[in-house]
Amino acid sequence: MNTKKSQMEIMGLAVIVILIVFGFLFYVMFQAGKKETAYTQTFTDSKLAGDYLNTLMDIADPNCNHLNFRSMLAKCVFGDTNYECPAIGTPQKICPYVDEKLDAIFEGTLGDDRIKKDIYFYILNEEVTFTYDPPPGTPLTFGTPCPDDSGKTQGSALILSENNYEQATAILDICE
Amino acid sequence: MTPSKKSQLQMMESTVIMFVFFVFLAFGFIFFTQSFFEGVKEAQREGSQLDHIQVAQRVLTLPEIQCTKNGEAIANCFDVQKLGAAYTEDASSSGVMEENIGDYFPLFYYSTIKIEEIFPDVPPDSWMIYDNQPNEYQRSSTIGLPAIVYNATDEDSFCEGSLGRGSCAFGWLTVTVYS
Repeated sequence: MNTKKSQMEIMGLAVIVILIVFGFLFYVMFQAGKKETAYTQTFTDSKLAGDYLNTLMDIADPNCNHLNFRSMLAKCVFGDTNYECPAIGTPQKICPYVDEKLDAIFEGTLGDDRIKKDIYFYILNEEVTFTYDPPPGTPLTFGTPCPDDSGKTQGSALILSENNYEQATAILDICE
Repeated sequence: MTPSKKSQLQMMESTVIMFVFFVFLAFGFIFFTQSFFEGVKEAQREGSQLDHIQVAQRVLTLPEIQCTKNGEAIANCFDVQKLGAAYTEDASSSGVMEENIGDYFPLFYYSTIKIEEIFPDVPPDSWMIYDNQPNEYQRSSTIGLPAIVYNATDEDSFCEGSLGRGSCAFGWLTVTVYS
């Protein structure tokens, strides 16, 4: 009889231990599964991706014969690289000029001073990232490609110009 | 073992079981209340985020400052003339929105709304169209969005799309909401 009772007590103990383990597991799962909803972040990312390039491409530069960014980039990408912007003071070649202006805008809006987003802007021309000369090898890009592990959250692409021969696309990736 | 000793042991056993039971109950209660208050806090956070988005969307479509062409509203565009009327740097007078800040409270709550010209930045311009920062607040969050700043009086320039004659600057809308 005593053996039977001891066995029952051990069973009870085992049940309690199992309950504790289950309770602990449930708590851990509950805590780990909790994910904060970031509505503001999602809204900002999707608005940025959707509106940034569209807005930027329509902006005309009074220091470059009132050309807008779409036209300036198209001139640079499609070979009209000797085009000069009067700028302020000394005239500048179109490619370095537009690169410098884009850098300033990206830095001023998406850089450290404001929303601290890692972004990657580049021109895709016939499946390769466009680079212009001179200076040799200087890419018309901003930022660095989004790392593979984080990936990009949103992105937008805008066709600069299309003709019978070639097509170029301005791409903005917003990294996670 | 005497019956008295056995009873004492059984009493002890019952007490320990009761103790363990109440410890479990206390843990369960703590866990439940923690989850409940976390849920309430999370709901508050979500609500404040949604308010923030609402404020940003209201600014982007506010007729007082939005660009229009032939009666048609232009998305993501602010008219410089309207911004000038909404906000003025002149200390002797105040803009329409500054004067009627109470009427805008149901739309913008406790927030600051600023529009800046980023490019071309000569001369740099910015408009603080709504400034209602509370004296005390628990948290604040900021949204930054791009927008066109259109000046119809600049006849040397031309904007793409439906805006036509006038200059289009790259603007940045900053909405900070306090809660």
